[in-house]
Amino acid sequence: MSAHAEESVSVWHLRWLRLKRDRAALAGAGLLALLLMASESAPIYEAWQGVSGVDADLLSRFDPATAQHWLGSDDAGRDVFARLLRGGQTSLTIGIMGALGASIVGTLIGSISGYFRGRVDMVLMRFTDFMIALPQLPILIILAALDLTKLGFSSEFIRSGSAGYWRIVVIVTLLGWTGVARLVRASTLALAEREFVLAARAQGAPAWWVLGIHIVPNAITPVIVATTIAMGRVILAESGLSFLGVGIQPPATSWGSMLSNAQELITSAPMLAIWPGLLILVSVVAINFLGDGLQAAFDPRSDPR
Amino acid sequence: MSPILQAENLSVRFPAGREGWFGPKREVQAVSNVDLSLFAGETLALVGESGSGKTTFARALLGLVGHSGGTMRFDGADIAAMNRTARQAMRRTVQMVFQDPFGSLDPRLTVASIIAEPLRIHNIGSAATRRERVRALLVQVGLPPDAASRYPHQFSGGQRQRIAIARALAPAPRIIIADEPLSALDVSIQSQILNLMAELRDRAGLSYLLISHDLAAVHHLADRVAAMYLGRVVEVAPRDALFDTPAHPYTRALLDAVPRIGAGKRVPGGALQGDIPSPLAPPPGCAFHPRCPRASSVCAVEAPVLRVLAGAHQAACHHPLEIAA
Repeated sequence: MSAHAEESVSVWHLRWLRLKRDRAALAGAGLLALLLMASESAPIYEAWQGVSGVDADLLSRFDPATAQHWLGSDDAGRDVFARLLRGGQTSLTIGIMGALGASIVGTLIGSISGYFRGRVDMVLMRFTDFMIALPQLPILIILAALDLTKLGFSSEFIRSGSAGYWRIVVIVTLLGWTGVARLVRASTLALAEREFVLAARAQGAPAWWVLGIHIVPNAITPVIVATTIAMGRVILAESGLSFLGVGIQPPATSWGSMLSNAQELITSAPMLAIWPGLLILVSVVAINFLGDGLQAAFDPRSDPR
Repeated sequence: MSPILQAENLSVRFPAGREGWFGPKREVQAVSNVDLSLFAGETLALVGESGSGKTTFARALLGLVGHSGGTMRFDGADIAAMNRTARQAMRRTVQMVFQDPFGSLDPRLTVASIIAEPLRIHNIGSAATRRERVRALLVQVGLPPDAASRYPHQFSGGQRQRIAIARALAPAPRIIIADEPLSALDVSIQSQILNLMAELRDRAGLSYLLISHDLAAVHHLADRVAAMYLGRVVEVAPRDALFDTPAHPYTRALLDAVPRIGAGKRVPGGALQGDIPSPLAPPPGCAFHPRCPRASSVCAVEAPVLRVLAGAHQAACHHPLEIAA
């Protein structure tokens, strides 16, 4: 017990101090920031090198790595490095947003279900079972076929590239929350019996108070882990969705779609598969390190004193 | 004098599922027809074995479990008929201290947030006055003011119970319901907490509903004692009357079960045999009769009701022990 803890130190500041001590988490955060920044600078690299990650150049298919094409070129003569950067924009945004979206929805549904129990719980959990039991492929095809103009979106938005992003984020959220919901419900059931929750309820604290201050913060640890793991899965799922025509459409690209394109060339040009695979791996590991650090930072009991 | 907190004929039942798939629905009668009153400034102790319904009774008073029969009154007003404002005002006035100081403090919150929580829920004061109040409360319960910025896991059990008491004191209550506040603590710490509770009561004029099976603590703190068995109150009496001449054989057995250092021979046959029966299938008649040394045939048939034996001494027994009038 430290005798001279300053009283004015805010909870968030303490969390930041705990995170700062965790080297792996900092490395993960740094790596992730680097990947994001590099992805955003794809146009700069293209202009500087005079290459393109989008336009086909059939005269330079499968070029080896040169000073101009840092990682060579692919089966359509596009610069692999530029393409990896462009793919990173898509994959990282979708991975982070999709996993976060699913976790937020799952946490909400799971905690409400576990806290109110009874009929609310039954309805929400049967709905969860229903979502788990749904065959995903037909759902995806239906979601892909949805005419967004009929849902009230402007046609400029739909033609812009971001509609594809958002469609994937929404789909991943809609299909991915069930696991987190069950996880959070189980923790909530246990937490709701704890005396600190009873203490708040005995004060007449409203449900949102109990859930927001006591239950969700204490149930969040496994959710953080699940979210970081889900990010990798979402990045891969995106390629499947794009293949079905739901998401990112050529000429835009993503690591997932680069990976699936490279499948048929795996013997002749293995590097086309290895690079995006490596980047997915690296970003998932970075996110996991960061997730571990966040989890510890949010838990005061992890203090080494 | 009218009671500030009163239970009239209070019952709490829990559903206990069915027997098999198609069997009859079962219920646990955790609290049966309890009549108890808490008067201003007094300490009423509730004693009894585990499973006797003490904790459920306290939780029903706080609205943490629903009651299935009877009424609860606060300052004479029926709690069930209160509007939201009146109910919140009552909740401010009635605070609780829990048994397990490791479970009753949210591990994710600082001590300051824990103690200030009742104030925030009831919208008392500004952030600055709440901070001041937290410091004052910490000093009052014997903790350093800089404990405010630390977390519960950095404290020992006794210190944590002090934090829990500070939280209960925060909204300046009139009643504190303490559910086994000592049983999770080391013996050496128990007396400290007990003295703190006595000191706070005398200084702030608090009323306590003390739930405990620690009869020494009860003797130290209580003005009146109620003994519960299987959800029923079997005896209520002023402390000295109950400790000196208990009328109910169950109370007698509880008192005899207390080990005494240096005491001579135990009263033969004093110790209770067997366990408390399942509340799913309470014995007919007097619930205590299967374990009672004085039971007769009437005990197995007719449930005794609480009746006055002398002055404030009440017991529910067909064959009460003799008491000093």
